[in-house]
Amino acid sequence: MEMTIQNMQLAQCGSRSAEPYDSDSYLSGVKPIWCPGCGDYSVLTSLTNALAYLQLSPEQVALVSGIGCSSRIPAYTSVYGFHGVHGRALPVATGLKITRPDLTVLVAGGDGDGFSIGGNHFLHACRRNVDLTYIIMDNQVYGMTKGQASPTTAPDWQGSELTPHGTGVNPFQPLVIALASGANFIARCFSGEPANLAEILVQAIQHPGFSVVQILSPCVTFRPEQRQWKNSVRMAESGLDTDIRTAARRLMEDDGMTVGQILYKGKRPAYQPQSASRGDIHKLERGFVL
Amino acid sequence: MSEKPIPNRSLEELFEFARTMELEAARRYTQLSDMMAQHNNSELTDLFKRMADIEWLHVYNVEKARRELDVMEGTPSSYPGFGLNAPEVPDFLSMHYLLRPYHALKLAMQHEERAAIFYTELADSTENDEVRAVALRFAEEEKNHVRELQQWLARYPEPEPGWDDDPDPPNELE
Repeated sequence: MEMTIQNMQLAQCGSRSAEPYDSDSYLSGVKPIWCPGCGDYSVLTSLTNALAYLQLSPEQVALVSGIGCSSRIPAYTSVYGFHGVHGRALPVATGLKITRPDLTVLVAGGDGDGFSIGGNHFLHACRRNVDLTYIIMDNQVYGMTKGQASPTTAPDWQGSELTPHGTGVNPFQPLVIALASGANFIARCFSGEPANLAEILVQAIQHPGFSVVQILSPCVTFRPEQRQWKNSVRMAESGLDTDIRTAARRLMEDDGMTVGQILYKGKRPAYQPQSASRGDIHKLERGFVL
Repeated sequence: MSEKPIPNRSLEELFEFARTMELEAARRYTQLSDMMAQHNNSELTDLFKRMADIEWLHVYNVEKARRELDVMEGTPSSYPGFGLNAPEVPDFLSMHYLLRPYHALKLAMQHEERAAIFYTELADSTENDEVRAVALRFAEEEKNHVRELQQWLARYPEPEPGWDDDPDPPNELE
């Protein structure tokens, strides 16, 4: 262990507990390059805190992502990571969980990756209900490609030269779609409330089946007005609707700024085919021979 | 929506909270220092690093006080995200890549003030004399930190409006 001032002071403080993992245990040495003010920093912090609370060893966890600013997150953690193809994080994660049900498989990405390029995978991942936790950092913009409208952008947003009069298109309602398609756990959080987010992530990971956590995560560079989200989000008064009709009404009537609670918790058993096996690698390879 | 004092905490819980808050503040300032390093703001990189070192010293001081008073260790991580919203822990969303030392010190001062208010309110609300005494001691320490930061801040005049103007901004579209 490198003897930094922190380590020396911790050593002087003495051993605190028998718990082997703290939030730092899940961080890699790679420093995030997100913009200062970006909400994704908080998501990383909440996620590492949630994993520390659950005391999952890093080799028991896999984090799969697509492409985009938020999809960089696996590199910043010490768990198994797969930074995949645009929009294809969910099928990769599904395959991983089916073949390695012993792993805790998390999926992360943004609104463009998940709901546009990966939109069809999102629907079917909800239907299949494999035991995954999907963490969507929603900033209503494509940040990495310099600020184009995404599926969740409001129709009148005129911040991009590609849509100077707004998109005029109805924004995607991810949680309504998730509920209608069969997701087993649905929540919306705000990255400005990291303790609440950590708590919801713990519950999402623990709940069997496909869990969807939409996180409002400001892009301060291409949507600087989102700095005001901290004033416009509101904590949900009550959560934990197991009745799908009540949850549907709540989600349909909401303006998308209600955060901090579980909005639906279903009881469907997670999909895990009995026939799934790791198989013989040579047999698998032979299947690809032309 | 930050954490509020809960009346009738035990002395063990109070120390655990104080330690966790200082620890999270140290972690957060370290992260902010790394963030500014990535964006070539060397002044803020150094300043946040110094703030992190100071917070680590506070972690040590809380532990020292706990041992002096012979208080048992509490249970760590009593709930997920424990300490992440604590009064002394700065918020990632307040950051800007062109921040100056003036802004960073103002921010740190606000959080130390919040911590002082937190402990004062806790002392006012508790029925436990020992907890009240320690909470007042912590509140006084936080007020000392505010005074130290005020002296530090005096070396930096408030930046002129337009401090965040960037002739080559990252969101420039060509």
